[in-house]
Amino acid sequence: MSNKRVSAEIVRRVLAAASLCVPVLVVIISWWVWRDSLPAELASHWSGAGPADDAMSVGALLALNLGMTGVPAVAGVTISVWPGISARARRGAYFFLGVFGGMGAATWLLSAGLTMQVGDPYEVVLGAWVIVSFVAAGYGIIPFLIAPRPRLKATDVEKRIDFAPSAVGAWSQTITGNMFLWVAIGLIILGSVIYGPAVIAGRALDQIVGIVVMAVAIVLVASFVRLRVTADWRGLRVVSAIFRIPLKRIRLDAIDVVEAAELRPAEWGGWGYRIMPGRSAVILRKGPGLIVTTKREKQFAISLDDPETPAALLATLRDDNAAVPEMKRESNP
Amino acid sequence: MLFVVDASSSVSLAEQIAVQVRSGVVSGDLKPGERLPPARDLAKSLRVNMHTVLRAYAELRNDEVIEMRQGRGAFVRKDAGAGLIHVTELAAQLMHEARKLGLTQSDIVRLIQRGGIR
Repeated sequence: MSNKRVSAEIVRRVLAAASLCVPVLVVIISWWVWRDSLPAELASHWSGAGPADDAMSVGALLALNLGMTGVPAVAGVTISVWPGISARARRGAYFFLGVFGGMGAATWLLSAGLTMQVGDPYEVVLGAWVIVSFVAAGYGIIPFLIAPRPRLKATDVEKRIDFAPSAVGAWSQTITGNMFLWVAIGLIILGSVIYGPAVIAGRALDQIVGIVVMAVAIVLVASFVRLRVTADWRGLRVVSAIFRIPLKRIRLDAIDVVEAAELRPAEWGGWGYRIMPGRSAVILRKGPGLIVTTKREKQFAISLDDPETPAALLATLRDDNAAVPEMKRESNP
Repeated sequence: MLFVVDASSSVSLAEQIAVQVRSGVVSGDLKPGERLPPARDLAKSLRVNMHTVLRAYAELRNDEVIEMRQGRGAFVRKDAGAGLIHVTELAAQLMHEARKLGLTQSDIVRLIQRGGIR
């Protein structure tokens, strides 16, 4: 692994650990700002939709929430520097620590903020504010995304195709996403039901925005019904076979690792065209597919019947391509 | 499917492409009704002239392996597999009989080429 990549991973681990310290800071800073306005006791427990049924002193509740946010922060820092933990395990741990940290900070903010507004802790009604706790639990996704992603080892997973030096190889396949077809048909039916009467009555202009949005949605979904996937000297390309719109291009020299793998929709955010931070995928079903990891640590996955052949071809072409400048250097000292 | 062309081969580039499509149909890599890559795209991918690919497709169409649909591209014919599988079986039978007679692979190729010229 290059020094640059190692440095990037260390920075990401430090930032992930730092993000777990943010809930602690939120609790401390909010207490510091509110300390003169806080009543002696704060609402701390609700059994139902009514007012709080228990309260705690500011010091006790502050200590409790500092513990709820501080323990994940300390654990996160420890995990970041502890050797021998896999990147996958580290990311999972960051996620759960972030969930606890986020909820800890939210609990403090709700108890302190609501009691400060009402005055009497036993008259504080939580109501819809409970949603804040659930939203705060999503904080776990932040250290999870910041942490370094698990890396594949090219030599372990990649295969090659033996070509004659004068030969040129290319792979192409057209795949059909029946799921996109059904969604497109569903949208056409929905659009006809919603906007059909207005169009027939000659009032299409009144609902032009909705009609345009629906038309764009149908075209977008329909463009994924038939896809042509090509692997050649230019890299990997996914083009809509119906509209000939390029949907994805990965240059050969940008490819770091390419492998055939078993794709599980749950790991890629579900079925269809998925876009996540640092990752995107066209998932048509649970089963074989191609995963390309770029040198900028982005991943792209696509469901294919025979991903081994394009994976081996791209790995071969990438290595042959990388060898060309070296050969030129050798022949032109 | 995978296409490989070798410019140093004595077989023409168009013939190489056509042979690989036929092999794809026989092996099941190309299914009846499956669309072949557009000639322009395949030519770019293989770094050959588009007319080379079109010549291969025309040969495959004449051999009733594929059909060209106006404005839609080239598709493997629904009945393409049967004829090619029959030829493959004949080839296997030929190899079997030739080996029994002690003929080498180059002898068999020479015989086939002579048959083709006639």
